Amino acid sequence: MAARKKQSLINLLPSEEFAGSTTGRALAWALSTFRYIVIVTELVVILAFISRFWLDAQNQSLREEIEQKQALIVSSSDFEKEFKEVQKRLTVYKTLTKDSLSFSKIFTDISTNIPDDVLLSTITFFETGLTIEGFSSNERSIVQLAVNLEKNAGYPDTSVASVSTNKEDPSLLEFSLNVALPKEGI
Amino acid sequence: MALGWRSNYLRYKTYFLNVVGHYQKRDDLKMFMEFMLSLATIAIFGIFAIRPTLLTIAELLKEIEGKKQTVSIMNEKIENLNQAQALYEEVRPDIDLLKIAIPKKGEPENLVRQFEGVVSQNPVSILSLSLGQVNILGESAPIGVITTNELPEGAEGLAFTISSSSDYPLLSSFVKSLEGLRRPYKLDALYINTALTLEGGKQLILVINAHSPYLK
Repeated sequence: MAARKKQSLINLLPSEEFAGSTTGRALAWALSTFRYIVIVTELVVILAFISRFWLDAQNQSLREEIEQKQALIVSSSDFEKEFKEVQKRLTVYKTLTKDSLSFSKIFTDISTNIPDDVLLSTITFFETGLTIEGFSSNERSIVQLAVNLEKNAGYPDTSVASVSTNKEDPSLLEFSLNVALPKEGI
Repeated sequence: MALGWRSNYLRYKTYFLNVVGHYQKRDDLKMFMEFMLSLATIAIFGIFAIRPTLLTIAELLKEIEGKKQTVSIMNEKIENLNQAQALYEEVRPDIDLLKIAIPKKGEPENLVRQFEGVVSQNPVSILSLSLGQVNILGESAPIGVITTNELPEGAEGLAFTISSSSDYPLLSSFVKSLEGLRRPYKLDALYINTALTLEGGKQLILVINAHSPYLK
């Protein structure tokens, strides 16, 4: 029984030496893993190739759309230029009319607030203010004019610049008033 | 020190030169061969096949994205142009007036005509009227055209000085009418003073220095 048992352990098939050799291992790899890598790579490339058609079609469609719209915009370029010019004109007009002072109102303000014995000789307007020069026999009237302009006419920054005796007629006083114009108030 | 590396070299030389022998003898080294071959294959395919393909696709996608943005901007512009067209048609009569107010050239003749209209309404005596240098025809002359920095949008100003004489109420009315001119102006200075006449009397004189804007 012991001899029969020993005989059944004998392996009569030849051992797979080729599979264990370097060439055998390389061949086994080439038929398994390498094959899968090649298939996956080809799949990726084929997918990219197919998607290329779709992307090219999309690209072409967008190009045509851009060309159409470009033609439309070019045909409107004259109107666009005209419209921009109108916008420029409007900006200029708005700036001028918004910032401009109403001189007729200032004239009225001065003429309604002038005391009886004050005679104006010069009124000079500048962008930021005005200078009023004149004569009066009474110093109080000059001050009264300044106060009237300050309180009644709404020019809070009114000051007497100079008061002196007139050379030709010593009974008269020459004066000069500076009035700053509040832009937003006019 | 020089002998150190030589002695180590002699010691380990056999290991360096007998790599193939070791590989064939040792089964655990043979196990890594498949792994190394797979890595090398993936690297080669990745560099020479997949990378260019993916780069091409990425470029196309980028180009498409750029074109989509362009189309979007163009759509917005076309929509704005349509809106502008509708608005323009709506306020066309006002735009015609605006063109008279801020002309493309100096158009001094129009300005003078407007002064004449104001004077006919307010009969003051015009002592003098002078206009600054302005290009009437052709391209803008580089010399003599005064660009006023105060005017917005790079507009130029046609300078004028108007001197008139009358009594105070009429001059006040004259100034009020000038404020309502169709062509606006930016006032540089305004003077009212009394001056002696040739006959020895006194007269009130109004001088206005201003510039009326126009586009280049």
